[in-house]
Amino acid sequence: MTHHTGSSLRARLLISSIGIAVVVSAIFIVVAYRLTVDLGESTELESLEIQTEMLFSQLQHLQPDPEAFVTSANYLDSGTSELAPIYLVINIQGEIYKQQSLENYPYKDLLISADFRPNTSGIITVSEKRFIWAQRSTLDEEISLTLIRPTESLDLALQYIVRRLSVTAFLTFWIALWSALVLSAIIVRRIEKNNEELAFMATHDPLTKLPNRLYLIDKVNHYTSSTKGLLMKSTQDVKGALLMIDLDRFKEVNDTLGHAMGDELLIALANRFREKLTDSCLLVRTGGDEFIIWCKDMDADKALLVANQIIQTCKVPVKVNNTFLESSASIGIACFPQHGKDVDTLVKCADVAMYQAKRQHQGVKLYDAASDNHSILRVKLRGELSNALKHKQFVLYYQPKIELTTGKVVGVEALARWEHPQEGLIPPNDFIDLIEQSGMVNEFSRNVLLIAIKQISEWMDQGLSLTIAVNISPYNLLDPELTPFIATLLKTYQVPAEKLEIELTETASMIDIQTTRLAFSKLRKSGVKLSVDDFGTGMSSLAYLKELDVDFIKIDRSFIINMSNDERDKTIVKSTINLINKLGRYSVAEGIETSHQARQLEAMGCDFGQGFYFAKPMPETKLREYVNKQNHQR
Amino acid sequence: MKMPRKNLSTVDRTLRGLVGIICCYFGVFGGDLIGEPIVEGILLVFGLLNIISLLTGWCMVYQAANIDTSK
Repeated sequence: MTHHTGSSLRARLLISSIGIAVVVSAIFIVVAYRLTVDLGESTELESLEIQTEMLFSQLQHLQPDPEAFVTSANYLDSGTSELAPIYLVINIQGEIYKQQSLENYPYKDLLISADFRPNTSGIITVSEKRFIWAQRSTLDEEISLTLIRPTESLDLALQYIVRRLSVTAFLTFWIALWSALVLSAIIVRRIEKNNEELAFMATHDPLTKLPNRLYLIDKVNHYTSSTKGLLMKSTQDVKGALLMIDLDRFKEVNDTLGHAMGDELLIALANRFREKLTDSCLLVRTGGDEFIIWCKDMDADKALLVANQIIQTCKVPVKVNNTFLESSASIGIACFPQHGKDVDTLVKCADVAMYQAKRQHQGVKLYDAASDNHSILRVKLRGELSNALKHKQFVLYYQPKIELTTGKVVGVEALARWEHPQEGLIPPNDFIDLIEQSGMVNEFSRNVLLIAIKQISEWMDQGLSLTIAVNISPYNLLDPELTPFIATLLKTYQVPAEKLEIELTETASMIDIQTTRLAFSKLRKSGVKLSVDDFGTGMSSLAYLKELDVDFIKIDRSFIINMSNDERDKTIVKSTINLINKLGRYSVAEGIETSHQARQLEAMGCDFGQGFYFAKPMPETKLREYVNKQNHQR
Repeated sequence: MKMPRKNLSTVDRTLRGLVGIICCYFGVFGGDLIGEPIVEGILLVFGLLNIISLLTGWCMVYQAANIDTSK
């Protein structure tokens, strides 16, 4: 397209330059011609006047033989052969004597058309020929002499123009041509440069200087269309892999450390990714913390290798402003042509695989068509979130928390369920991450808190004294209005603060200890109980146990389940309970499934237990029955 | 210094050679006919440039304008 613009611009410039050259040359030629003619004729006239003067004085002396004078005056022609002949007309007392050669000219017309006045001179045009004349006469006009000569200036001027001006005009055209070519080249080059810059801006991300989605679409489309013919022949050679990379919890870096740090991290990671890739791979940033790698001629196995390399690269801490930031990524892979034959499908498949990888904490996941139905559902659910919040489709199920020594229900953990009008009851695992990604997490958690606090108040009215533990997202900790909101709710529903327990998953709460500690201390001041969920599975550091001022620590179910078979798990659980108790916190065991486990834990000194052995999460109406039954049994 | 790449076709080169020789001739001997030293000077320079093109097969203006008639 640029080339086309260039050639059309060049043609236009050439035409206009030559046009200008023609017009300027024409003007110059006309002006120069006129000037030459005018100058030449006035010089000729002057010399004719002088000659007339001289001849007239001779004529006055030679009188009365005008015939002889006319004859003798022919000498005027002989010596000046280069000049045109001069014609004499002598009028003596009405008798006209004239030079013979004038017979060839219509001299009478000449004399008539020229309004000869005595002692004057001038230029006349007769039959498209120009003549100069000069006349002298005596005072009584008895004797007069008129000299007439055709002008030569016109011919001379024409001669000059043909020679000099035509050469000059030729040179002018040539110069115009050259300058048009050079100018057009310069302009085209500048336009191309600008276009390239614009094209770069349109197809690249300004932060990382990586290409963007538009560029990717163009490249992949180009590849898919160029291999269409080969695909028809079902050759195995045509292949490609699209890797969708999403950084885990990048939002937190942005929110807690600021966008400048987040940007630095992105740039550093983009550079690292680039180093890991070969020239046949295209790395693009599609927005936020999402990158896509498109590798043509790459099969699934190689793509998995590349993906694992990328994940390893992410794990190496990045130094940003003297802080080392550790990151991780989830990668979904879609292969061409098995999973999709166009860029949209490939991106969609890789996206689905990436979300699976993220949800299952697997790092890398190859797209699997079988699990795609589930993914379609997720896409659907994502679109319906805000509507679900508005129509209060989220309800709470409660799982009892048992005091192991007494077997009494002391509280419950509230677990959200989505009562979907078409899909039925949806467990939290299928939508919590959607909510966290959607930016509606604060609204969602407030909604859950409202239901829970209202529930406590209701139970209190019915004489049921139970605490409710509500899980909140780490994103909620960044909400400065969370604590005041809880305080207002507690006051409105007249619920004592210690009846509410806030649970935070360890993996989440460990990310930024400062933010978590600040948020926890605010919550604690308001009087609510705090608890760390899934202890032992995240990026745990014992220092966090010391740093965070919490009431309960819930040991992750993965240790409890294998406790009976695996001595190591048993030891870990035992030591953890010991540690928790020594630190003055309450220990809660999650995922108890057998009475044996419950007895073991009780013996280890564990304070509370939760799990299917006691009860599954249940709706409020069933819970009341359960509590009554359980507490009356003991 | 790297020699510039040829960018003139044989026809182009021949034409330029002819124009160059004619221009140089008039630039040097065309005093009576042209009668203008400035024009003669320009003709001479112009002719010489064309003769350079004839000898080298390379045109400066073509180079600047990114034109190549040699292909």
